[in-house]
Formats: sequence, structure tokens, C-alpha cells
Amino acid sequence: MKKCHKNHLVVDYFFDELVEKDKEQFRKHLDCCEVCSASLAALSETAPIIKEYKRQLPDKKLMRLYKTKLKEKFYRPLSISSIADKLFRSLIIKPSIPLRLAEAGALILIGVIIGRMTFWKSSPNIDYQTNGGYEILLSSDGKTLVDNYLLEAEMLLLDVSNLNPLEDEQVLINLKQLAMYRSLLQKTLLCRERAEKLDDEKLLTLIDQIEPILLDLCNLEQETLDETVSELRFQIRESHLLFELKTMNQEKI
Amino acid sequence: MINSDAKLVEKAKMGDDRAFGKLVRQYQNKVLYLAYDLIGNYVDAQDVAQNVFMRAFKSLSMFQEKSSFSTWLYRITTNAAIDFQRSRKRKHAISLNQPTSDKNGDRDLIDFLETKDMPFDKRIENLDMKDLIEETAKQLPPQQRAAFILKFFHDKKTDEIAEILDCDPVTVRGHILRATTKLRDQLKEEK
Repeated sequence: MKKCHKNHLVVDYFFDELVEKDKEQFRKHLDCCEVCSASLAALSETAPIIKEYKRQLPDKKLMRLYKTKLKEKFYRPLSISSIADKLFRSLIIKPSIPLRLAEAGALILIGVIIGRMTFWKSSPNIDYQTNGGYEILLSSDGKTLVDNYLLEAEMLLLDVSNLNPLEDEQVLINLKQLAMYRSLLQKTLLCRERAEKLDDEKLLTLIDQIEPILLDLCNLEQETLDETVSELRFQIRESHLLFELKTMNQEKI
Repeated sequence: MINSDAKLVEKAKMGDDRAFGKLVRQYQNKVLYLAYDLIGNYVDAQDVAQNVFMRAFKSLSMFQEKSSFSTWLYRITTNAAIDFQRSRKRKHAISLNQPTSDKNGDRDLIDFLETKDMPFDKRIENLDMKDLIEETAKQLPPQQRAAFILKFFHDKKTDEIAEILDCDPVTVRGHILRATTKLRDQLKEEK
């Protein structure tokens, strides 16, 4: 019987498992090889008949029994302890990278919240017209407002009394802006309200002295700068305003 | 499928029983059908399939993932079925030399006579095409039968069959060609 060393390739050729190049070569080989042609004919003749073969399906009872046995051996339902163990493993012992990142993020967030609650206290927000009116002004928040106001006023007046209008023109302009920026005038009004409500004579006297100085500072004109500043310095010195402010602030400290 | 298998295998190797359970569920029918195709009856195929999963479970740590999990499982199934056939043949030989009074012994003897002793031509008379194919497959040597079954009944590629049977692809092609030629001859004889 004739043999061909390429005969085994008939199988891959028939089942279309050869690459295009090999398939083309083998097609040419088939034209001149009787052995391979005969094998291909045998395959072509028999394969469709085999493909029609359908295996007998197992009895339903037997199939159920088989699956039940496999289930008992290999995929039992999870118990609570095994779920807890699985959770513990996936969350603590071997967390995945995204889970680790999420845990780190959550820890940072918790740290920020605790830190904020412990160390950060917001300044009193006095909006007495909308939030309880005079009640807020008379509360401890109102007191804090007055304390801050007196401190700021002391610092501002100290700066004014120390500056020389000839040399420190820019400083003076900055002071003017600062006074406006800090809304000292606005705070003056609020503090006056509180002092009047509480009948705080001492505070009222102080505010009466501070307010015109602040007004003058806010209304400084370049032409009259020297004159106004000299006047203000004189006024501060004569009124002993700084001394009184300093005494009051130190008392509070 | 292969990717998801690889993930499940990785988890199962790390001790995740549920992952192995998923693999079992995925392959329980395929393994049973392959065992049936190789052995010829569902009662024995069912036992073999259970043993296959048990073997796979025990030796999963040794699975190096050079081939896919499905190929590895098919290899275990084929080997287990061939081993089962061999042990059954040995049993037949013993039962023929001993008086058989118990039920199992009787069944073994009947099986043996049905498959071996009667001339093929006579047995084929009342069989239809399906039986003819099954009968022809039974006559083939174990490896040839396995190659034939994997190719035609499980649509495996030649290279994968070679991996499953742990032999050269050329040998696999030879097995398939010889099995097909034999079947064709049987068909001609029947006609």
C-alpha cells in the first residue's frame, strides 16, 4: 500500500486548521497525491455521518443524583462563619488594590473630619438681622465680636500713632485700605448696639473716640494727608485712647 | 471563558472553595459526556466524572497553567476513563475464570460477551447508525478512540487533542485518519 509523509495533514486540511499558506500548498499536493486524495475522500464521506451522531442523554434521575453528589462535595452553600471569614480575608488580610486605596481614602477623610471638629473653630458669624437679631449680639458671640474689634482698633491706632506721613505715605494708604477691608466701621456700629443694650458706658465712650478716627482714616485725601495724620496722631495721644484700649485688652487676656 | 477560568483557578489555588465549585459547575456536563463517550454507560461515567473532579481538586496546586484548565481537566478525564476501561477488562478476565453468582458478576459477563465475543457482523444487524458509530468507537484502541471522540464529539482542535493525550499532533492526526477509515469500512460492510 502506498504511503505519503504528508498524509496526516489531511485531517487539519479537512477541519480547516491549516494556515492559509500551508492550506494552499496542501491543495496543490492533493492534485498529485492519490493517497492523500483517498484519505480526504474517506473523511469527507464519513465526517457528515458522524456529525449527525447524537449521544444518548442521561436519565434525569441519574443526572440529578450526579449533580447532587458534586454539589455536596464541591459547592456547598456558604455558612455565616465562612462569609465572615471571607469578608475578613478580603477586607483585612488580603484586600485588593482598589479596596486598599478606598480604605486609605476613607481613613484620610475620617482624619480630616476629626481634626476639623477638634481644632478648627469658625469665627462667629454675626448676621443679626437675619439670625435672631439682638439675641446674637447679646450672646457670647457678640462679646467675641467686641473683643476682636477692640484688639483690631488698638493695632490700627498704634500703627497710625507711630507713622510719619512724610516717610510712610504708602503705609498710611495701606492702613486706610486695611480699615475698610476689616470692616471696622461696620463692626463699630454692631459694638455700639451691644454697648447700648448692655448699658456699657465704658465701651460706649471708647467707641465714641474710635469712630471719628476711623472715619477720618477712611476719608483720607492725598492733598491733606500730612495735616490729617498729624491731627489724628495728636487726637490719639491726647485722648489716651491707646492706653485705655491696651488696658481693656489686657484685662480680657 | 479561558480568562475567567484562569481567575477561578487562581482563587481556588489560594483556598477559595467556592471558586473551585464554580469550575465544577461549569464543566460538570462536559466531563460527564466525555466520560460517557469513552466508557459507554452513564452509571460508570458518573463515578468516573466524580473522581475526575476529586483528582483535579487534590492536584490543583500542581497545575502549572501551561495549558488551559479545560485542557487539563479533559486530560484527567481521558486518563481516568482509559484507566477505568483497563480495570474493567481485568475484571472481565477474572470473572470469566470464576463462577459468577452475584448480580454484578452476571452483568460484567453479559457486557463482555456483548462487546467482545460475538462477531461484529452479527451484532451490527439490528443496530442503527448511532449504534454503529458507538460500536466502531468501542473497537478502537484507547488513544485512537479518545482522539476520535475528542475530534468529532467534542470539536477539539488537533493541537489541543495532542495536549490532552500528551502526544505529538502527527500521532493524533494518524489516530483520527485510521479511526475514520475504519468507520468508513464498517459502513461499507453494512451496506
